[in-house]
Amino acid sequence: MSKKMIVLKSSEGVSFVVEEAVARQSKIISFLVEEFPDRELPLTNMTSEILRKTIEYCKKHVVEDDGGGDSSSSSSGDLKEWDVKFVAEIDQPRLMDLLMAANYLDIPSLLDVTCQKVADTIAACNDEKEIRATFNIENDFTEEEVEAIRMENQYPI
Amino acid sequence: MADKDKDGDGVDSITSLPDEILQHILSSLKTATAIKTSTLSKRWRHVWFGTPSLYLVWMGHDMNFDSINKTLARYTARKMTSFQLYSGKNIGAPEIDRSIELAMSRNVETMSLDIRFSDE
Repeated sequence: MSKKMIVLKSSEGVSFVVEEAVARQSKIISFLVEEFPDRELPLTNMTSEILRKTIEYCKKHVVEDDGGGDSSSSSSGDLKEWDVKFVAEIDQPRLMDLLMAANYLDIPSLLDVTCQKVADTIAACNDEKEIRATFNIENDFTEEEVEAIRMENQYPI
Repeated sequence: MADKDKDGDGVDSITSLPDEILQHILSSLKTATAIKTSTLSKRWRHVWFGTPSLYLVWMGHDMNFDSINKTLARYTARKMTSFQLYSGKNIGAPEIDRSIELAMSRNVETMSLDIRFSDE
């Protein structure tokens, strides 16, 4: 029996044909394919690049059920390693896009790995200045305000 | 201000994330690091208050539990998923008790205490 396929369309109008089981890792898509079977799903706020990355992740994480019982396509240790490599290869702006895609499509495991990468990046910064520079956060505090907050937060490291 | 130079495609996309996502990110950091983010910008000022997990680490300095208490008084997460306390320095029973009380008062789901006692 051939696998059921669905079509996801990026913001640029590019169609991606994906196995339904792969796409269903997104809780939103899972819901939509039940409500609107045989329809292509427009993902108007996702670029082709990010959609491709998201699908790559979902393909790797799909639990295959091809008659021989459930079997994950990879062992969990390998999968963890793969995840680390997957996010390590993505630059900062695209990582943020991928995180937002994971949030938008409701893919909890992808949200976890992207959030973890952002947390690791924050933890690796020496101070607030470095965090701001890394994420392009504009400081809209005055020096005095920053000092006042520091005084409130006396918690030593 | 010094931080205004925008290099590359300098878009601040992290700041536009909803609180719950930012708190998800802060959850896997030591609480001291999470608290530091409150001085990043006004948007970040109150984000850490609702972080669902706390990870307190005391090492190599005298613990000032009053100041920590004051800081944690601003911690408003109603539901705490995890509370971790690591102490590499001697810590008194009252401080341990108060830590546990704080965690219990927020209906903590998992709690982990790692307390090392050493001879000085």
